[in-house]
Amino acid sequence: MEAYYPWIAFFLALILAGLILIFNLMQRGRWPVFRDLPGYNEVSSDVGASVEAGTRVHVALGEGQIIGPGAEAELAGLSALAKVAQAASISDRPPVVTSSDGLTSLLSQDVMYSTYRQMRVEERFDHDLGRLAGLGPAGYTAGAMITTSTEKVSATFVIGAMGAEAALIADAGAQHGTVIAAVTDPVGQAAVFATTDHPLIGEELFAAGAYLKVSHTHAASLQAQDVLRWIAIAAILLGALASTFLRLF
Amino acid sequence: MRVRSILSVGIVVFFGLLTLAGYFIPFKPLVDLGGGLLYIAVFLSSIALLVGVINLSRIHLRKAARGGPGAGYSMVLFVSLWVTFLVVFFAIIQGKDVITIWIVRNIQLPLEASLSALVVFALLVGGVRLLYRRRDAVAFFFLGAALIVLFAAIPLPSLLEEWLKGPDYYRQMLASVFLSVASGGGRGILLGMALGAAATGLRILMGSDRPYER
Repeated sequence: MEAYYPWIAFFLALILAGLILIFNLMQRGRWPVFRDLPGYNEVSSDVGASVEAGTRVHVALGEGQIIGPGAEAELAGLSALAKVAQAASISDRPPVVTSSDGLTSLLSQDVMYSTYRQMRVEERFDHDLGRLAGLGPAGYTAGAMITTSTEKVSATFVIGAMGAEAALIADAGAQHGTVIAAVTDPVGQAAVFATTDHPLIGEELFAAGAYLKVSHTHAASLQAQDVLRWIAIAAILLGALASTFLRLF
Repeated sequence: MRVRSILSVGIVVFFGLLTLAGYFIPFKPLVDLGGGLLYIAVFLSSIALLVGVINLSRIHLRKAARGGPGAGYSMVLFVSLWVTFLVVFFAIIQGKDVITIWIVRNIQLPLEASLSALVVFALLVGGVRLLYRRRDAVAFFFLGAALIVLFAAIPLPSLLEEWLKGPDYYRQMLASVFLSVASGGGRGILLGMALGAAATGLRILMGSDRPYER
């Protein structure tokens, strides 16, 4: 059976890609309605409040690596960053982005620069705003905590691959303003659930692009995920029923 | 879309699909090509890491030079970073691993351990705050489950053990019921995250997500 796993994964990827394309075509410029997620609802108001107060937004992309574990969470965080940078582009203090990976910090600079160029305010862009805060979980956590306290931060978005250390960054952020957190590690999710007002659990991390209206493809991919999730639930239930039936008879 | 953007999207999609094909199709030249591409990517990633470290030390040097709150910490970071780099660099050249091991054991590990201890306090404070910040059913269920699992894990005083008459059985039964529910929920969350991760990767391969656009 294990020999077929790559092929099963291949066909699932094909189905997912097909569904993304279909939903993208079906949208025709309209934005689909998703269930309410208070965490994402608060993002625009938190960014607006920081712009008015003349403070910064801190986007903590976590300890993941683009080539290695946590790449998917880093990419989801970068999608959210584009929208946060766009909303904060009118501010005198642009957002500061921290990560634990060289490639992620370069990509965060790219995302911010391209957003600022689109908004025609590229003179406000500074390379130092997309920075490597530290190496390894402990080094990154210490660096991100210091960033919150030294950069006049009033809103912290923790979005990326992170463990229980996310609680420390969330705690440091809460001392200076609001915190919204979405992390990948199950222990980290429990930690942010206990320490933040609006935790985002599980796959809600990957819904950032759709909820923050980054592009229609993000919305389409969230709809495609929902369809595949129902298929997976049906398959699990049918498998359990079939297994029980075969044991009984 | 500018020519440079088209070119970068083309490179990402082409090499991404090629590496993915090496994973799905067991054709040796394709698998070797995928491995080679990953090797190049890892090499470039380590150069990016070096750039990131230089950028980090530049930021802290500037902060230290500017003065103000936290300037002393920035100076300590800058000095310790480059002193450690030089010491480890010369230790590697001379083949003396002892120095590197000493630094890791006596400086890095105690610092990381103290940070881990801080996590415990942050979680404890967070748990207490949760009681008056979010008074909904989910928060109470979360706290209740955490307390039951903790109750099952900690050793009880011997007098209480005797009074409960074989508490291990009841404690572990209660904990196993909660852990079964929790592991079921955890698997559901992981399933959703796997789908989210696959969709994120596919968006990059389809060229619709472009964090490298500059």
